[in-house]
Amino acid sequence: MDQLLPTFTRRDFAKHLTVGGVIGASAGLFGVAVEDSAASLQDEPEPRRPPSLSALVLAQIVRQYPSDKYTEDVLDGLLGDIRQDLARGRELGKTLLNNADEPAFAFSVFRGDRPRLGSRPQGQAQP
Amino acid sequence: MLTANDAFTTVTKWAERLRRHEVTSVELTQFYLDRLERLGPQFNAVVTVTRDLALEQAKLADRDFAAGRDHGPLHGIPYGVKDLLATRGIPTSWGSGPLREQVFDYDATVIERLREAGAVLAAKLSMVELAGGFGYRQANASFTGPGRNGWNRERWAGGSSSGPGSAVAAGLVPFAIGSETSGSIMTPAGYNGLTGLRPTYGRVSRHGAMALSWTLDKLGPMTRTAEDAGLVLGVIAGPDVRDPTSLDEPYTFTPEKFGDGRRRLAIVAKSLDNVQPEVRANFEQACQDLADLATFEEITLPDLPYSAVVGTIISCEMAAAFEDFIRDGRVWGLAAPEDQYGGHSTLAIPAKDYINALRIRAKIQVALDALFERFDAIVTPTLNTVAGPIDRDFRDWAKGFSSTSLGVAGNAAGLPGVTVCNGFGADDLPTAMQFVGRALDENRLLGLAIAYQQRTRWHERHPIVD
Repeated sequence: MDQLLPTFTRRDFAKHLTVGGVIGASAGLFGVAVEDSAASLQDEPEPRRPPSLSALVLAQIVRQYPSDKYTEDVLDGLLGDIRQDLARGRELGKTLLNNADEPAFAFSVFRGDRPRLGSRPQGQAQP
Repeated sequence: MLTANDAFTTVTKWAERLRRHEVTSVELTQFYLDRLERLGPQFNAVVTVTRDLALEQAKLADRDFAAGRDHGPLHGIPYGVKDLLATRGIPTSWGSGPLREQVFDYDATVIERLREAGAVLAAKLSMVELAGGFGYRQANASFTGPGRNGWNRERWAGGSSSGPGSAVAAGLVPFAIGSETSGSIMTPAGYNGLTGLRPTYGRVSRHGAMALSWTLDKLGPMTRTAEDAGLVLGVIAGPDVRDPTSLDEPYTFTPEKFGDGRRRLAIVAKSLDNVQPEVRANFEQACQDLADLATFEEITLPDLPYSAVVGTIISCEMAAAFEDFIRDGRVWGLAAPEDQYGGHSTLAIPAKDYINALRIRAKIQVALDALFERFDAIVTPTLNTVAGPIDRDFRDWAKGFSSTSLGVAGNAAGLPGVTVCNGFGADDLPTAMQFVGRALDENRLLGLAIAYQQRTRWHERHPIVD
């Protein structure tokens, strides 16, 4: 199995999620003091190199969106999605863009009495 | 007395029959309501049959006809709509189990316009949950079950407008409204042997439609013929102050005539390299069928990262649109396991990736417009295979096949496209070809599709479903 972090496999990661909850697990992995999971991690060897970018993103997601549904299979799939997103970002980075290349959206001013002038605040879009 | 064969009658023919008083709108509506209720479950095509509303609207249409009031070609004709359009007081599930009880207190603009044109809303049709944005990889990705193909229930109907695809193909409604962010009209229309029209972005108001991607979502008709698609577009298109991205350009269905042989069509190089043999053969034959209308030139698309741009835009916009759905845990109630976690990674995509995708998108628009200026349309097979088995992972079924980037490029630039059935392939399932054109050129594409359907009869074939 691929390593999620230098010293943690996805199986370990999932186990910690189950034992300590998501916050505990991800906090533990990054050295934040959370009692249960920190204790369970004390015997683990110190990471020898920084975690991969995909692992960091995974940790960010499970901390921001905690759930008890993060099984090993789910983490596996989620990690695959993260790697795909990162690859897509790298692909976008290969296209040469100049400072003047503007995005394909245009903000426009709004006046309630001239609705076709430009975009409307979303709150006014409903009847 | 209407028979099973009548179920496959076009909108155009029903309009004639209604005006000749061969059938009333109530009879027609009752006929399709019965089919929706009896056959709909066999295709997992229907979420809600709107029987009471439909009969009420049909009675009104009959009263209008009797009083000499004619609201146009859709007057009195039943239709179905993908269940992502808001309908006042009727559940709008977005194909998602956790939202199956969701009810809006207003109608989407498209629903309003169809009602004003006298069309009869007969059903809310099934769809891939949340329009497929969460990365589904299998047909079983909706709380209504896998969308089953109108030609063979063991095959996929395509997505995400799966219900509109199979319902029109199986003669459950004469036409339907689907939506496309990137492929969701063209794919089910192609797999089901229908005519599908993806309008120019902004041509049809998105007001009241589920937002997967505000800058990519389009609504369009799925019909039996290109003529019907144009008639429906003529009703639903046009400016709407409630959709800030709707175009000011009015639209009238006036298909261009293709007959002088001086038209120019382009074929994307290598578009036949990795498709099923029947897809290739049917496409080559279709080009021969069009040979008296136009010259063909082989081209390559500008070298730009179309898929990365569209994928990033969809991911980032849906992350904003559905963050609450993920945060509060409703996401875990989706049907497909990969959809349950598939939205999570999008929540962490850097903002600069989104902005850069939009910057590249502007380049795509300019580059494609320069290319399309030289041609009436670019044509390729719509799909590289016929519909796959209902129980196979898409990655497994599609292994070894590939398509050109025309579909995703067209979506990136908001360009219109029309798909038509161009024959039948493996297991006697439909194959399809698509015409993609310059922004606002729906009438050119529809003219071409009509000319093709005048030369061939594939659109007249239909499955035997009862």
